Amino acid sequence: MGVRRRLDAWPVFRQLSGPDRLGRGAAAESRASAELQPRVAGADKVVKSVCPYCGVGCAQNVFVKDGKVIQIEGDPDSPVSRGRLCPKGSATLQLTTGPSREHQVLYRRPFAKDWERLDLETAMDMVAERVLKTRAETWEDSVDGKRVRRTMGIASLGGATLDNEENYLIKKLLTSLGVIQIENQARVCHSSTVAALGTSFGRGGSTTCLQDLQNSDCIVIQGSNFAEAHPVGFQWVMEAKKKGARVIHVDPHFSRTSALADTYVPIRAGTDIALLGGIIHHVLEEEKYFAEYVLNYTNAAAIVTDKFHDTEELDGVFSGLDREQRTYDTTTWEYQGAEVQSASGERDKAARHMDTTESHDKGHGESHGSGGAAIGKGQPDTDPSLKDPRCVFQILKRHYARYTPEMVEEICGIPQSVFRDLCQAVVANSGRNRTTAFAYAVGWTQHTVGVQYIRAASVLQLLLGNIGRPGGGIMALRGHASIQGSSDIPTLFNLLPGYLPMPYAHSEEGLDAYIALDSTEKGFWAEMRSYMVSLLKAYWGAAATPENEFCFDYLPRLTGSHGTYDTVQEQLKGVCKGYFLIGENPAVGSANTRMQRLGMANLDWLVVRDFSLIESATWWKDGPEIESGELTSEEIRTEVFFFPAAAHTEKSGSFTNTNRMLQWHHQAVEPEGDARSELWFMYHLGRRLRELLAESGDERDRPLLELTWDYPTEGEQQEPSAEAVLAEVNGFDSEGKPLSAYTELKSDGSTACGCWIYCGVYAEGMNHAARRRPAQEQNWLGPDWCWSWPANRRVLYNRASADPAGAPWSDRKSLVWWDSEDGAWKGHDVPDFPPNKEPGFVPPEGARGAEALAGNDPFIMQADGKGWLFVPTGLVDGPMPTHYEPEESPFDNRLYEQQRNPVRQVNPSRHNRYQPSGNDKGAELFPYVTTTYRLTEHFTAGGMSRWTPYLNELQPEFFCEVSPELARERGLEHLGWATIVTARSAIEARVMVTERIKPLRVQGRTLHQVGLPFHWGGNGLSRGDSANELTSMALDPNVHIQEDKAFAVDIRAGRRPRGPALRELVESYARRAGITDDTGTEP
Amino acid sequence: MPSRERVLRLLAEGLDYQQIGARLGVSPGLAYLVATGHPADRSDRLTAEGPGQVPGSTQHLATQTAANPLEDPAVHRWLRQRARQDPGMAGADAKGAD
Repeated sequence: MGVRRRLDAWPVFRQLSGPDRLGRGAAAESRASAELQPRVAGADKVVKSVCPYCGVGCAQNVFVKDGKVIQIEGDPDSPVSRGRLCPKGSATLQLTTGPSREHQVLYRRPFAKDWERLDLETAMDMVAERVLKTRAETWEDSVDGKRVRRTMGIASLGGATLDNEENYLIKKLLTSLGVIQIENQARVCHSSTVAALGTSFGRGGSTTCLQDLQNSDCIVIQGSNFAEAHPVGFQWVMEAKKKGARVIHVDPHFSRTSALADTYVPIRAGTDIALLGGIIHHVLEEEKYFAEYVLNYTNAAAIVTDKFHDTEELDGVFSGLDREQRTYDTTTWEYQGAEVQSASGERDKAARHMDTTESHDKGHGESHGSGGAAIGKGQPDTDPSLKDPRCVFQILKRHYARYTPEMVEEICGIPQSVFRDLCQAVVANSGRNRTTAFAYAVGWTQHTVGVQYIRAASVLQLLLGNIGRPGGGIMALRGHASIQGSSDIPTLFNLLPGYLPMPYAHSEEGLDAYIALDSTEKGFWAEMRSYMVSLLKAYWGAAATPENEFCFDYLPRLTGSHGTYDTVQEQLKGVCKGYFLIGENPAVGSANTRMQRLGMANLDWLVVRDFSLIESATWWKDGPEIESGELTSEEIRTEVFFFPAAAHTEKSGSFTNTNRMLQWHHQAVEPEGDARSELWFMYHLGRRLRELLAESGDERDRPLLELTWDYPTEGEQQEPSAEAVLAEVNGFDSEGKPLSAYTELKSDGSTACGCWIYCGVYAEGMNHAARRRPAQEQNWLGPDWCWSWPANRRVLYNRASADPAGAPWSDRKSLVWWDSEDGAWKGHDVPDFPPNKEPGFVPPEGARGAEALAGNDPFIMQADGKGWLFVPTGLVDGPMPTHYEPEESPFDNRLYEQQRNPVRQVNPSRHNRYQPSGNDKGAELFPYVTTTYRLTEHFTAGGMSRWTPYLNELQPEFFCEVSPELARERGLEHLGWATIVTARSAIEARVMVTERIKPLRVQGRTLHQVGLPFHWGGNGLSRGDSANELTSMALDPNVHIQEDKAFAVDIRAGRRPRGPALRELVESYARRAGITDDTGTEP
Repeated sequence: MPSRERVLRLLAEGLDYQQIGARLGVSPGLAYLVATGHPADRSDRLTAEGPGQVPGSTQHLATQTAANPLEDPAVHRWLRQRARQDPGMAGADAKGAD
């Protein structure tokens, strides 16, 4: 090196001799600095992707070098995430490339104490063989004389973390095999949302999108720790706050959401309907409702039949209750002038017109996910003056008359002054010029009245005129990357894609009868036949003809509730013998985890597909029952297959986020070892099964053999083309041309479409879910970023953003409007209305379908075009939300004699005992209310976080949160141990004494609450007891979701007993409390 | 390392960041960083204001190798084949047109 070059390498010389005398630029750069390169600089390619954790759907850039993922960063072009990632999203490099992932198939023989290795092909063959054997052994052609052609011997659980295309193949293949027990996390997280929003507005998805929250003037976050569970989505709450919005957080537990809110309102867990009912009462009594909106856009004026009697007349129950059967005859809730045909969860009641044999259908609420409940022919009588005592408006006023500030204080523990302030905030920020949004998550959904929690918010938002408008709406915060998608393309027992209901067993079992039961006369749900026939064509192609009703007969039939909690009971009974767990960990994440494991211990075979050895894969070896001595490995006959799963970076596909937006992620690298996608697993399992049965002439094999199963494959691993599956989901015509909109679907068999609500995502042969037009180049809704169902609309029901004449309610809140010159609806969003229908349009007599929608019917999927304040059909537990105490509560119901939801679903058994409540003897042993929740750094049952070092450094241990007062009362020490006990089990947790949980004054006494994160289990880098050991299977009757957000416990200092002493402790509580299998099961 | 003034001058002359980068022997993203003081991938920054800013996304200046295919001709062929294998669809279509 010459002298000059040596001098130039010396920063001081450069600084003194060059133009950068102050050393603020290039002069100060050392050689080491100059040689530094960004980690991503050498990347061969950058792949567009999506975070696989929560439902916000943060966009990611995946950097690849030499066939390896070297970095994952947020994509700044996303209109939703704007480049941000939370701790989990930031740790996805470690999740996908870390050493904790398994890449080898593992096999546990019956009665074995350990795993052995198995090659992938052999394992696939073995699984195929077992599927066919179990199916043959458990096949049912009929039940009670009705054709069902199904197997109850096989069940599947999982799908919310999977791609839509994977869920599509799971449902398609298993349905063709006659499997009906197909479920996923959506059942246990947000099934309540679908039934509640669906019956209220006509669709079961969030009414708005995250980024529209920035337009809110007030945001009430209730039943959600938004900032910690959906951190990146929370930026839109902060944007609203920056613009002057008021943010209110209502929650039992002070969190970072509370810290960033203007007002924090502590509440007793399980009492939100009393609070929301109180606000409804305030709005009605003070006449603060948006009168023009209410009159024109809701069913407030509809007259209800004189057979209806309210809870005020019947002390807490509605008319039609059959206590013995635990059901309501919902016909007493009908509109006068329009006969109701069917009701959610009681679909068979309508079927009885055709069928004299009763079968008990308990699962239909979610089928209103995109098509409201059907009402009969004729128009409901109405009273536009809203004065008729039997009109919905007056019924509503009477129903909530006693939900006074005093009552709210008594029930919820919220001081009257705080409650009044909340009411005033909501009312002052609603109307023509202002809008309020509600945001919630599983703090509302997971109750025995979960559907009615969300219904209460729906009623309130309709009264205030906040639906379909900028900054308004109800944001259902979904917690998995594609839990919305796994409802839309459902891996759920009672649904087919697009919320078409699975058929039930009837003697009248044809397609006509099925359509007649559910389709509406008015709106787009009237075209249900086109959607269904197109689905059958997608499933069975050439075999589906008009002559055989498009193979409608190939669909297996339901005979009741076959949800995931029912499946556990079928396992214990020995009916269900084979189980697929596909990215779900019920041994930690489902209610009553002990019962989940006992069910699995009674299986013939279990297939677990995941990244790591989760608790649901290893319970036979190291589960709590092994430790307690209840089970021993050598006596467990369950054969277990573990298949390593591919990560989101290793496969292509789409997630549907909480905005109802499908976002495509491209494969960045091939999965290593035996890891494969679910798409691969299902496709190749199906291929094997079809080969094994190729020569079969058995009638029951025809649905499988005639299934369209010819997807093109790619690469050495023969990965099926996810884009081909998406194209089938989108639909195509007789020339193979992709369809552009669901309005193109036909009922004559000339179109095929795997999910009608996703029709348009592959319009013109382009993958619209992969579109990535930067946020900076479009409006706040980001219409060219990916694709939202339905029809790429971002704010649902946006016709309601304009007044009946078609003008925006105010300039400040304009979204879509009628352009009379062009004769079309225009605006910032895709209008959620027939594009050329005039605001003043009055449908002609006898019109049906979309033609029957009037110009002021903004809820186009509803049977009457209106938002429903009162649900005359579609739900099984009441037309209006009513406060009931949780299944287990230290308090009596202060409002009614009726303590609990009288038709809640209970599953009494020795493994699932309930506790006494209120003033009942024994309830005093469980004096504290507990709620469970999520932490930012962990993810649901831990399968995607407890094996990730970064995340476990941040949240290393299971803990319980208690107030200083409760700590003193029970002798609990900060960082010490506590044992928490219910009638199901006892767990231990580190104690966090914190003022984040305040004692409340409820019914004249002090109530302490206990907070429990629910992510832990026995495996992974950080271990601990599972909160769900404590919870019970007490379910909402509409959707079969469990109540784990409010239950009663005891808490005591010290660690829990080990070995047999653990069960002895639980039994001792049961004895002292007088608990039997029947306790708490009364209607 | 080019100076900020030099990059801004070239920008004022009508060159874009790709051209500026090529002329000055640095990556376009670095030229953007020099001119604006902010990374082109918009890390830690949501809004774009001040000298050197350009409308729309600048991510491509920093991440030039991004690939995002929107269409797959093989899938289009497969869809047409699926339809051909199901003559009933065309039959229904023809019947509907009658």
